[in-house]
Amino acid sequence: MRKVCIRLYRIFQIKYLIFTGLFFLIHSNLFSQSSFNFLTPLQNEQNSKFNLSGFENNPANRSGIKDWEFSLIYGGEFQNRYTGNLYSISIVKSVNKHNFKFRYTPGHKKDFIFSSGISLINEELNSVLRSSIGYEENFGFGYSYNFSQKLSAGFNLRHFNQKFVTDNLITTFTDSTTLVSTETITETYGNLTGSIGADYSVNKNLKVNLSYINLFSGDDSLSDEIKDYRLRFEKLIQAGVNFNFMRNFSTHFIYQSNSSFEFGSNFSFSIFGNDLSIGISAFHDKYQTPYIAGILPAINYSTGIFSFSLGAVKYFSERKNSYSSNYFEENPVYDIMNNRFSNDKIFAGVNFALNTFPEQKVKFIDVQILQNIFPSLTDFYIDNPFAKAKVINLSDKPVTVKPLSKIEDLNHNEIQSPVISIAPKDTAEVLFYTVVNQNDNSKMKIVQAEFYLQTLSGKNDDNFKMPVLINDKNSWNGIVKDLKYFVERDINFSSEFAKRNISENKTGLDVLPGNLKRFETIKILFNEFINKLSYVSDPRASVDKVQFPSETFNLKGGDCDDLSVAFASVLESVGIETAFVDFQNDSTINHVNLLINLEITPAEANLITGNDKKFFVRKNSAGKDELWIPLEITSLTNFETAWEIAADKFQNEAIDNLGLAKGKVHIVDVFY
Amino acid sequence: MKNLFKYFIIILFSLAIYSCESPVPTEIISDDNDISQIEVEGISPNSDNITYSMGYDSTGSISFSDELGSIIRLGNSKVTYESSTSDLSIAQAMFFDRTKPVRSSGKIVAFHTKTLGDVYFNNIKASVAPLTIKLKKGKSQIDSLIGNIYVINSKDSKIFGSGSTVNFKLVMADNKEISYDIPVPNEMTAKVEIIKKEKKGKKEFEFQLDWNGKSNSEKIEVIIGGVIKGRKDVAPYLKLKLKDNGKTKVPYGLLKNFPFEKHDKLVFTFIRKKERKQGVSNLIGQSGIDAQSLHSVISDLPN
Repeated sequence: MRKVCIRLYRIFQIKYLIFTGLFFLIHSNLFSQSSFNFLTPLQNEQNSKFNLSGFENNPANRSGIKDWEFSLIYGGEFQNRYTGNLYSISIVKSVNKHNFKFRYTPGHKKDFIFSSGISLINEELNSVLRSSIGYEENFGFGYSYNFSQKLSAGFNLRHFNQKFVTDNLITTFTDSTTLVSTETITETYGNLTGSIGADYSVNKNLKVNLSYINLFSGDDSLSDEIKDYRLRFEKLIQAGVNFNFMRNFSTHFIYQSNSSFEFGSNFSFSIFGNDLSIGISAFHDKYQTPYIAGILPAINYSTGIFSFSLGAVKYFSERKNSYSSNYFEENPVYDIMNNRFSNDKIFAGVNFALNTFPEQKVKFIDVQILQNIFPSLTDFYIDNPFAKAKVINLSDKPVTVKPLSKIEDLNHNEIQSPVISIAPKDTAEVLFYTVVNQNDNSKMKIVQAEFYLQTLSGKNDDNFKMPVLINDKNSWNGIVKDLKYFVERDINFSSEFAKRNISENKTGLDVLPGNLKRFETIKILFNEFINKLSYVSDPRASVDKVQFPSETFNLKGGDCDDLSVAFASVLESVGIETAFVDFQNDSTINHVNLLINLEITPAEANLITGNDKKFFVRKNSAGKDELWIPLEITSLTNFETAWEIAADKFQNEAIDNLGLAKGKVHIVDVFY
Repeated sequence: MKNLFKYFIIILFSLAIYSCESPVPTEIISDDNDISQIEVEGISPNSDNITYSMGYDSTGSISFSDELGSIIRLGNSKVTYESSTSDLSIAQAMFFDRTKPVRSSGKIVAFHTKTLGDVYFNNIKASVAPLTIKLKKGKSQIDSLIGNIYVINSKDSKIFGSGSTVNFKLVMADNKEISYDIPVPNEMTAKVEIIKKEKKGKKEFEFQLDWNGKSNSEKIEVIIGGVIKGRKDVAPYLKLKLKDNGKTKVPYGLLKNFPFEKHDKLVFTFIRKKERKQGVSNLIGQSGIDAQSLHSVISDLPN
């Protein structure tokens, strides 16, 4: 239903635009300040953050400005000599979907001077009677509203002045003298014109616009004497289209209902990391000759916040310094800056975009939780991402993205994941890692994980929330190597247990040779261990739980995982290396034994046993062979039995049945 | 960012202040050849120019310059009123005695003249006549005799043919002669027409002036005067200098305030002249020589 409504809304928008255009066509008196704009050839996607379009070719005041823009155009023309002037100063401000523009145009002017041919001669002065007409555009205001990313509409108001100055002869006749003098009559008329228009982006590469120019043109109450010389404000329909053939090449066409048109193209490329655009437009003006009256070549260089433009206007017909009065009367002025009396011009423009709002450069497309959180696996998520996201670079430049995440109840601050670089307009997979603080959650729960994307501006470009499951503190992910997190957590508790028992047996241990001392220590600790604990099988097989060593001692028992973890913790706390032996049976429940490093060489094996199947030789980090013995922790009878059972199982499954070779038996060092 | 913004604003306003130079206006030249290059000068009806007793037709007005020892003047003059034209050819010669100035209100306004012998223009002997000038005395003018003038007045306009050269000769008592040629300008033939029109409900008028001129390099003068009511005197008010190109239009503004109520007629005197100064001899000093072709057209008042 919602889709249908949106489609109907879009159709209505397009139909409304067409209807509005037809309405204006029917009701317009085809008489302007037409589309002529100096920077028209330059606007493209690459410099779209700058407003290079004036009210002339952009009556709808469309704008890509995010916040503020200040611009200035300085120009000059060649007539006898070069005269330069500040053509315009513009300020653009965007507030949410509203765009405002104010333009001051001190250089938008055209002056004519009429010589009456009458000179006044007297003793004091020799003056020539002249008349003059001055047309000027003073200022303009524009507003537009972005209905959506595709549609915006707006209007502009422009104020013009027309000044007519006439020198008149005043002759005073007296009996004694005749005085001839002049009086100057000045008539000034202001015109406020209004234009409206709309812009629509059909797709990424095609934009169209439709405008009604000079909807009203204000004061027209000129005296009869000067009415013929007034500035004309022609009511016009203007339609424009802008098409990007490819990313760096765009073309535009603007047509007016008085049959004037303008067309041009621009090509942009990157230089020194910024955008350089070269464009040219040609225009046909109903009121000028030849058919293509002139061209506007221009070049633009846009950085992040500045945009510099240089350009020119070259007319193809001869431009003179003086014209006859009949020619002037037959060719009224419709556009101050572009008319039959205009001269070739050059201009330079600078735009300054001040964006106080962070511009969104990257955006989440999708976020996926890769695994639930096991709070006991404290630094596990430093190397193993718990979530991944698909992220798009919205900008036209490479962006370095800093991904951050914060899991409720688990992280006090945002945790930063490795930064990545994303090519312009490209998408990338971003992995999120985290750190788990010591957590004593006794119950699993679902919390919100927040994901942030930061570019180098230091502000979040986008964020995303997603629920994530946090298991309780005893939950284990079933990966044997991750049992080390349970081993190490209560290492101080285990150390206290181990040291107390070693101390109690110190006398006996001290008399033993060094290579047997470790073996005896293990034996003493194991016997003390089994005296205090009993085996209890895990009733919650579906989700493995592992007790921390202190819990196992407090509860006086546990399953094979709990006991293995607890005894490994005891041994590791006094520097005896251990490893878990993971027997992966076909059954759903795996079994874990311990391997313990005696730190004696195979040659010394006979000191502890004559059965070479009761130990396992492993190389240490120095490449030296050391004896490891297996131990079945769940056999809580005595050390010899537990060793015997474990050795048999290890010999049978790991060696004889090639469990190690086939990958069915894994030896996982507790602390590697 | 803040610094960039600051510099941008500074540059922007610096440019704004220093770069405002208005473009050169495009000149529009009038296609109306009827109003072409008129130089207007107001002249006083009671000017310091001395009007002498031969009446005002411009030949009777003369400036006694400090530097001139003599004035030699030739004129072919026509006066037209409606369809009637009367011709007059005039030749005059005055020789000043610069030791005898004539003062008015303490100011030298002229010099007494002297009689040196016989004067001939194209071998026609000029007669000697008394020269009376009008001198201001208070608000009135009085006639004052300042000597003699050599003069030929003829109703035959052909005796000093326009476009020809007239020989001037002074034969003194000791039979010494001073002689030189004076070129006479082409005949002036003019026409004045009143054009009445209405502009924004107000009645306006212009005077269309046409004459037989074809030169854009030479200039003529048109003196606009009025025949004072109840008198035959003509008071000059305006002097126009125009290209001798044949026509012009006197704009409404120029005569809008003319005191028509004090005049019976308007007089437009078209003057085509050739003048020069020539040092002739110690005896007669530097001569101001001018030859004029005049046509005075008497026009009705526009109302």
